[in-house]
Amino acid sequence: MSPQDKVSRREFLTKTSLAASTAVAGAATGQVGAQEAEEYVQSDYSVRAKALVAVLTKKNLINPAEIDEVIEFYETKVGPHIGARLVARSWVDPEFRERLLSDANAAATELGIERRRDLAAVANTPQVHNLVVCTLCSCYPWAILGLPPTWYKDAPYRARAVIDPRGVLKEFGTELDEGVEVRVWDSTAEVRYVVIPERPQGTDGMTDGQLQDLVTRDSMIGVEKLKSLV
Amino acid sequence: MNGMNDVGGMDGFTLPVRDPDEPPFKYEWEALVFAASQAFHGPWPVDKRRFYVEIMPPDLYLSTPYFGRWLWRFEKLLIEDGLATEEELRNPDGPMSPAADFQPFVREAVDQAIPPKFRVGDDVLVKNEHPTGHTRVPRYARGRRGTIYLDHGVYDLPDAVAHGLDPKPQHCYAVVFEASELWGARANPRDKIYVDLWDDYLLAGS
Repeated sequence: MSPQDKVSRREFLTKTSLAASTAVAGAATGQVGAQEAEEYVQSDYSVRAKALVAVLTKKNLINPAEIDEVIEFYETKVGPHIGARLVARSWVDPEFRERLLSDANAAATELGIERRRDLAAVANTPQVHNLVVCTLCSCYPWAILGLPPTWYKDAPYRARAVIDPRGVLKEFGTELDEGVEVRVWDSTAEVRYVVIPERPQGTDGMTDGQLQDLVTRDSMIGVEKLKSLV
Repeated sequence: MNGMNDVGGMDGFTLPVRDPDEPPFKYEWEALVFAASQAFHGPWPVDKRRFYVEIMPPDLYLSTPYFGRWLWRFEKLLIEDGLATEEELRNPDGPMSPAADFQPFVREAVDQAIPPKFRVGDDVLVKNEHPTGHTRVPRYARGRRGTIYLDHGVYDLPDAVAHGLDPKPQHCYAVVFEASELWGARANPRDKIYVDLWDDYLLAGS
């Protein structure tokens, strides 16, 4: 018998999630093994997610082929390698950098990058460090970074990035000089922010392609600086 | 509304262990929920979908993983709009009723010629409002003084879009706040917080 069968139909939607969290709470007190509780939670969501897709498909509200296309696109096509193209180009082409910082939408279009949302780029310098967060939900530049990591979407990072950015950065292993100004960008509206990290030392003479490989996702969120190669 | 989603500035959370090799979807169900949300061209603007996460009871919000919240709101919206029933979602092998008619939501282009209320460099005061509906003013910025840093242009006010009200296209700005204006003595006086806010959220202030 699946866990939902014990639950009255009327309260199904609330109870399934609450039952899952109860199982996790049980794990904390030793009543249920942690792994068992985790498997319970995942199987519960799995049952509901499959039911959702089945119902939408049966009612012709979605095209199942589109489900596969969406998953493939976000698993294999879009990711931080796209943002890295903007960053690397900005390091080798000062005029592109100016265009990127004044109109990131046009700069992205210039590199053939497709997007649905508006973009803004903010640059780190020796005096300024930028950090991006969405305290209200999970706004993130999908088009150039892919889907956000779990920590970006969960409450702890969102809660602390605005009130204790230096503490968060330290936990990510990023130490800033006391004199550096931290700018936190809370993506509360329609614009998606990307940080342009500083070009690491020891990269003179590297090609645009080699530079792209150095640019990390976390450096474009602003939680880390790129390491010097010297 | 003052929902659990509005966590900016809360203490007590611990940053989780981070997996540097985390895939976009850790579990198949996460991929299914995400893809179903993208593949269903439904009647709900993103602002309404956000609101349906904000209304989650705080304890449920915090104990539900990210895509679990997407699943919760998807089920709730389908049921509310007569597109599916609880019974169907619980037993997808059973009989299906026809879905109610709906118009897919399409975002209309907004009139960029609408004049701004503020200019870059203007001092502003964020209204201290606590609407019961959807809004994009974080609680930590309400009643605080900042300065217009950038004018992003004209966008529909999400407070109106989320609830199907007449559109209120207007300018949206990056407003810069001194960290100490938001967090008092605890803040590093060098630091600044930038929040994107619409005209309707702001008053002239100096």
